[in-house]
Amino acid sequence: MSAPITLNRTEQESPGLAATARIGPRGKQLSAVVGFLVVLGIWWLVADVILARGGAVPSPWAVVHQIYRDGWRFYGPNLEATVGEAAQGYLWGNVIAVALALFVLLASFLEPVAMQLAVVCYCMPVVAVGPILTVVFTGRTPMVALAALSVFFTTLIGCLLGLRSADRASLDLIRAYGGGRWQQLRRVQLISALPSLVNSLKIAAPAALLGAIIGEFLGDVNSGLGASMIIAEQQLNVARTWGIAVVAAVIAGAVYALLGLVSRVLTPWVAGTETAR
Amino acid sequence: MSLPVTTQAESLDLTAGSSGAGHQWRGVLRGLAQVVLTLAVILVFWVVFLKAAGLSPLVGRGPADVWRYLVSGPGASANLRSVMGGLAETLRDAGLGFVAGLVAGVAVAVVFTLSRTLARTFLPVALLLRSVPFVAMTPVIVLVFGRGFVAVTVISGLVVFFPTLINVLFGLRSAPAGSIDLVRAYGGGAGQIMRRVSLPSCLPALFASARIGVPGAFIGSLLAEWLDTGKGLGWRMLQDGTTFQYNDLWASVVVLTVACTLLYVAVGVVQSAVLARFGPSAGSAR
Repeated sequence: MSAPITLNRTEQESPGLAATARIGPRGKQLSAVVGFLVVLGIWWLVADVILARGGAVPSPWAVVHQIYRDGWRFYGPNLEATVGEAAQGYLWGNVIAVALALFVLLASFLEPVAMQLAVVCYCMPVVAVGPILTVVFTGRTPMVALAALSVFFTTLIGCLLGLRSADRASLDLIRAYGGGRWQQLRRVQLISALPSLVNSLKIAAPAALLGAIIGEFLGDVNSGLGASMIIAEQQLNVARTWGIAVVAAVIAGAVYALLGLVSRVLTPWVAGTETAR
Repeated sequence: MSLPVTTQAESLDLTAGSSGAGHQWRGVLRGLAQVVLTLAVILVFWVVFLKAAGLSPLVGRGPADVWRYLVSGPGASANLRSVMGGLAETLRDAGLGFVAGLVAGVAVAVVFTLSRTLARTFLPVALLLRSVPFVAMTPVIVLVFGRGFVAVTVISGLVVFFPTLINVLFGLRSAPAGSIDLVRAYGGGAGQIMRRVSLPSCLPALFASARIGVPGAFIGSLLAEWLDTGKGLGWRMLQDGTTFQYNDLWASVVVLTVACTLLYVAVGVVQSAVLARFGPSAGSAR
């Protein structure tokens, strides 16, 4: 949450860097477009020239064409399944994390324990828990659980750090005017926690999608992006495998960007959070 | 992604306890008590989870079962040896990708810092790719790189590479302008600035990336093992599931979680040692 801000600051204040950074927003957009084109060009070159004989890398156009051919009839049900799992997991994981953060705020001696629990949760490889969850639960519950597990750590940490970042003087002010613990929480801490919380909710979105897809890799369901990616790979349907991967990446990126916009509406006082993008 | 940069310093402070000179012992004791409490919470949660899910004892194994399987029961030493063999393989897979991703991330970040043009052109692509869940691309990577250790390395490497690149890049840029000017005033060039100012000031970001990368590298290599290489703990767990070796399955999860947590904590310990050497203000611009 702080790094992009530092970037802006260094660009403006440090004379050494500013000298080389005299380029307007138009120029920046242009070079970004050039960058994307170069990457696409390299992909195309690798696909059609360097690795043309292996057939493992389809060209960008072949992938787009395959996505178009598969169309909504293929992607509709798969998207519905995976996005549904990810959304449920996102909700559960974040609700539990925020609730735990608020609880720990009130019982502050438990905070180190909560932190350690979060770290262990983060270190417990979802790939290792997946097999157990698929044994324990049926249907799509394992995917939801894995998605929830994938977002728990970042949200808990983000929420705790945000709550803790509250301005000391503002807290004292509330107390001086006769406000209690609840008033401090409502008027100061929740507000100061918002940027960091919103930021971790943003990071959590692609993580939830990843958790759901991993769950589909491991579990035995036959619809969903992860499941059909495995099926396409085993059928050696290269272009479709790539197509599903690209669609998954685009969805993750789109949700991330959308939440970035939401965060700017919710926390406008955080100057240029993601303008560095 | 920059969030964990702040995370690492904070959570480290918690385990360190109070740093007052006379209270060192009390701090250590308190830290130990917290660890014990955390372990107790995990064990209780485990047992309650088994009860609440209403699992048959054949499928759901408790802490005592795992302990018996790995430590005290008949044939425990053979079990332990074989699980550890799988772990060693997974560690090798994950470690190779982890180091490769870290080194490549730092290298590209240095290049981006030295060349503004390259950074302007390719940083947007990197920022976009940062939110791509690469582990979900495992089938594609397997198609491209085959069913060998290259695919495993590429997956764990990619997971580590992008966060490292972005974090270290912002770390390098947060170098204090005054120090840069000082080096320049004494006749130092871009290389000197990089070596004496920028690299030390990006150390916190580097260690933060290394820490958040540990579980990612594990997940990447486990998934690759599960899906294709047929080696390591990932593969073992797939087999355990299909051949009903549930003791082995639960034991593998425990061993993996312990290993990953220990590595995560170890990176933190190295980090605090290095940052103490370079002064806590290294990279204080954040």
